[in-house]
Amino acid sequence: MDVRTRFQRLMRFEPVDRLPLLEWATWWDKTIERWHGEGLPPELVEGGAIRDYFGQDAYRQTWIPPRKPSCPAPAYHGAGILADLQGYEDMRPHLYPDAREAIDTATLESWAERQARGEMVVWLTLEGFFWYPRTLLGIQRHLCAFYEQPETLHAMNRDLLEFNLAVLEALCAVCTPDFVTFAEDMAYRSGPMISRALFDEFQAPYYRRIVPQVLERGIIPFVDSDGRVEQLIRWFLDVGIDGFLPLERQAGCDVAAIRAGHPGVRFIGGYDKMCMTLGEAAMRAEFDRLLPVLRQGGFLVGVDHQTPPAVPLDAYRVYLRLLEEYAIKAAAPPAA
Amino acid sequence: MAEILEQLAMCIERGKVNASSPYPPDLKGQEGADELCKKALDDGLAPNDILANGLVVGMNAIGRKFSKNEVFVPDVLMAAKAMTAAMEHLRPFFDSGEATFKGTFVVGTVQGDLHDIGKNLVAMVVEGGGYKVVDLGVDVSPEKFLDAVKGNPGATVGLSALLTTTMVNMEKTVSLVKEAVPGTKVIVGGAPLTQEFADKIGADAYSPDPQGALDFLAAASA
Repeated sequence: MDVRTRFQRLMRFEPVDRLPLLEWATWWDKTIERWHGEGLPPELVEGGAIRDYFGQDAYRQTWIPPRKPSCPAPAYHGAGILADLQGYEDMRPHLYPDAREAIDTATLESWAERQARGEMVVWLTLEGFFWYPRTLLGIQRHLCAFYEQPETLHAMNRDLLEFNLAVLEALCAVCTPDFVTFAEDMAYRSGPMISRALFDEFQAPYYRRIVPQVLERGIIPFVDSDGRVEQLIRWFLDVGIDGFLPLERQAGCDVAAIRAGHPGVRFIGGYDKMCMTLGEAAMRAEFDRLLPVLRQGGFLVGVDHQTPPAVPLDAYRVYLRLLEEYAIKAAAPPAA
Repeated sequence: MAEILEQLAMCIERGKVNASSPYPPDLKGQEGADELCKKALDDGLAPNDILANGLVVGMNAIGRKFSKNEVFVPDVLMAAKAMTAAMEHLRPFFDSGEATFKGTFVVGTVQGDLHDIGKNLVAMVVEGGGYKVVDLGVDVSPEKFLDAVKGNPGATVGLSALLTTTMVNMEKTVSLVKEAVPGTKVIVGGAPLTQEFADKIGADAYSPDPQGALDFLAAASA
């Protein structure tokens, strides 16, 4: 079974020969730096090359931001680049590049060839309707804007929707991704940052426009949100999205409980990164925790965000060995 | 409690900043925390009374609802905005010593970490709870925390971290502060933290939410 077929079948809850060995989140630069001192060849710095080195299944991701190169960067993490509707109008010349120019056609063509041969999975990331206004307004102003500047948020999301639709069309003309993630990060360790009512007003209408376009093309939609996402799952199911990542254990996400409540939902991630410094027994116990859900299908197991720099290369190799073992175990028919 | 303080508490809880603020829609055009606090002072109410029976009541109410997931982050931020507008009228009295805070809370995001929303929420709720807040910002070194503790005798320290890579820096800060100024209480919080981790690094408390920090301060000063 090839890489792409294995991924597609897994996500359709169909039998596979083994689970994909696919680390969805590339490694932190600090982790790579540490590993360079522990035996990772120094020339390996890019995610794809490191995946190949570890013998993992191949994927490629393209993230198409709705910003032109001239768009200013925020002064610091979490800061915005504008304050209100007028600021947004003034910034528009630096936003929304032509979709055909925003995609790297030559690279996508090469991916499409490998994808067609079943050699790799293609992943598209689009900025979501919570994420994007936050990047423009900054974290706190964005959260207050739900009450103080509703029209500003709607103006941003109307434009983002049109941009994302244009990207989808332009990109799929060259290479149709296997799955798309909408970057959101709209939960913290206790749950969503906003209420269902705010989601319904400011995000749902835009998802209801784009998700059918995604599904029509056979692309599997996921929401990428850190934090505790249980409450969000119903919200996104109602707009047609049934895939979730990274399901951070540290925030209390429990894939078994979520799957019990929502049998058809798909997962990527879910493996508690915090156990990776605790030795093989702890790592094995974490795989055992996940195994019943892995056996159900629709679950691409991976580190529930990125491998922390505290994890030595040797420990990561143990994780990979166990991943391979459980990838086979999860795909095997249950013992009689 | 005076009726005006009840109104003030309601405005804080519901995030009604001033008469011109459009939020919440059902209070549009009505006086907000800004005007009501000034009016309370004009009526001769004591600043400490206004703080304890107006601002603190409102912020406590929103903090408790947030702890129970009954309200969300924007609601807390709007309440904090209303509280800040009211505090502008009270601040001169606290600066002059005519009124006094319940205590001092030195808070910051630890070294190497630039995330501040969680820390800011804690700072807002604690300030609304009647404490003087010394916000050191983000990427704060252990030495800077220590300087702030020395400059604010008796202060309680709050350490925030979002990243697994930076939470380890909490231990250095806890050790330095407790060694240099014995008896200093330290509370920690942030996405990757647990009670177990707090115990391991010698912190006095862990809280998963801002109200927990406020409750800890209240218990510590009781």
